[in-house]
Amino acid sequence: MIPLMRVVDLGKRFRRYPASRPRSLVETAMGGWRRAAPANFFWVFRKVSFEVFPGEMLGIIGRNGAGKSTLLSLMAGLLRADEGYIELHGQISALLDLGRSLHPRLTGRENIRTSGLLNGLTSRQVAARAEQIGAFAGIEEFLDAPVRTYSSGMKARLTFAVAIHTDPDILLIDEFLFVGDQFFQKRCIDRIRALMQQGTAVLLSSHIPGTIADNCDRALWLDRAGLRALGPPDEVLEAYQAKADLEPRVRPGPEP
Amino acid sequence: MVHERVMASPSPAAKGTARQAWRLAHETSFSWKSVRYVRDLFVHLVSLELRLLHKRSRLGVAWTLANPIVQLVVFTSILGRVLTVDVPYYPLFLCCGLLCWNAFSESLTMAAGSIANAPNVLYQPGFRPIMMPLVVVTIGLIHFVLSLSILAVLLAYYRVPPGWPVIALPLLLGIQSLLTLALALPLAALTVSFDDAKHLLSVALRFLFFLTPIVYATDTFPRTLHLFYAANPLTHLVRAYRAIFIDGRWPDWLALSGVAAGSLIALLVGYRFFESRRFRFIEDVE
Repeated sequence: MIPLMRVVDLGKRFRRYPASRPRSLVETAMGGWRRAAPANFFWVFRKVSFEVFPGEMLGIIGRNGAGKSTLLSLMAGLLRADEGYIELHGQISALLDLGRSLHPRLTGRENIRTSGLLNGLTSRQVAARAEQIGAFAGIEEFLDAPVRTYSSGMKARLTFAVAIHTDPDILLIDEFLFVGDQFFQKRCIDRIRALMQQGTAVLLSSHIPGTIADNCDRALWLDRAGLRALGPPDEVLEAYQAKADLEPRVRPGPEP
Repeated sequence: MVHERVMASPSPAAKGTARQAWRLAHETSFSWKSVRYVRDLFVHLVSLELRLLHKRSRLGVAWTLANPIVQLVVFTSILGRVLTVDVPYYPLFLCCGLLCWNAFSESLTMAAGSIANAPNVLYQPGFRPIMMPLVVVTIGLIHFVLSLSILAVLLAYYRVPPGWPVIALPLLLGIQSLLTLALALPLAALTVSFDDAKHLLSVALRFLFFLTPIVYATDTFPRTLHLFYAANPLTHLVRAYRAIFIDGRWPDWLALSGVAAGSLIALLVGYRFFESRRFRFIEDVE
C-alpha cells in the first residue's frame, strides 16, 4: 500500500532565549544582533521516522513535553523541521488548538468559510456545507453571531465540525478527541470512522493510554529520545506504561 | 561564541532538506485547481478584511473619503490662503499628492499589523502567511481607487479636461503597489517579533510625509536638493499622478522605470526576508 505520508528522520529543536533578550528593534540594533541570538537550543526529538497509511488511525502516546504537539505541528506545516523531512500526498486537516483557528470578530458562518477555503474546499462547496457544519456542531441558531460571543464549548465543537467536514486525506487530532458531551463525541467518532472508511488516515495524539487503546489501529510512542516504539497499540502501551512508572519526569536540558 | 553562531544557523545541507520537505508537503505543483483555491481564498480574505474595517456598514466605505477631504480642506486653507504656496490649481496639486500618500501610508500601517493581528490563520495547515500583507495592500489599492473620486470631482469643478495620459493610471497604480508591497512584507514580519516596529513606522512615515513634495512644490528649490528628492521614490509617483491628471502630459518614464526596477529588487529581498522568518511567527506572535 502506498503511504499517505512518510516521515523521515525528523528532528526539531527549539531556541531558548536569555531573559535579557531584546524585544524591540531599537534595543536589538543598539545591543547588536548577538544579544538577540538564542542562548542555546534543545532538541524536542530526533530521528523520528514512520509512515501513515490510508484508512488507519495511528495513536501517538507520550508524556507531557515529549513533543507530540510539535510532531503534529510539523506535519501540518506550521513549524519547520530542523532535520529530516515529511513527504505528504494529500490534503491535511488539523485540530491542533481548538478555538485558536477561529477569528473572534467574524461570525460562525464567516469562520466556516475561511477554514473551509483554507482546507481546500471551493466557495461553492463551503456554501453548501455551512448549514450542515453548523448543525453538526449544534450551533445553527448562532451561525450569524460573532465567534467572540460563543462559549468555549461552542468554539471547540465548531472547530471540530469544520475539520471533519472538509474531506481531508489526513486528519491530525491533538488530545482533543473528547470535546463536547457524550452525544457530540459519539457523532464525532462516527463521522471519523466514516471518513476512515473512505481512506482518511487519522493521527491522534494523547497522553491517556485508554484513548489510544480504544480507537487506534497502531500506536507510536514518542519521548525525548525520539521514537521509542511503533506497532500494535497493546504492545506499545504496555511498554510505555512499564517505562513511565519507572522514569522520573525530567525537563529537557540545554544542549551544550 | 563561535560555537553558538554555528549552532544558530543549521548547516546548508540540513537547511536544504528542511525547506525541500516543506515544499513537498505544502506547495503542491502548479495546477488550475490550486490557482482557483488561491483565488477563492484571496477574494474571501479581502472581502472579510473590508467588512471588518468598515464594521459591516455600507456607509463605512464613505468614511475612507472623510480623512482625505479633511486634510484637503485644512492644507488648502492654511497653505493655499495663509502661506500662499505659489502653485496653479493648488487644491488639485494637493489632492494628487495626498491621495497617493494616504494610500501608501495606510497600506503600510495595515501591513505592519497584518500578521500580528491575525494569528488565527497561522494555525491553519497549509496557509501561506504571505497572503495577509498581500490582502491589506490590495485593500489599500481599493481604497485608493475609491478616493480618486474626490480628485474627479475637483477636476470637474476646476474644469480641467482629462487628456490621453490618464490611461497611464493603471500603470502608476501598479508601480505604487509594487513599492508598497516591497516595504509591507518585511514590515509585517518584523512587527510579529518586535514590539516597537509599529511605532518606528509611524515616526518614519511622519518624516517621509514632509520629505515628499506633497503639500509643496520643489520647483524653486536649489539644485542640490533636487538630487535629494530624486532619491525618494514617492516623489516620482506623486509627480506622475500630477502630470497625468492636472497637466495632461505623460509622466517621466525614465524616473518611473527606475522606481519600478528598484521596487522589484526590494520586493525580491523583502519576499526572501519574509519567507525566512515565517516559521517563527507561531513562536513569536502573542
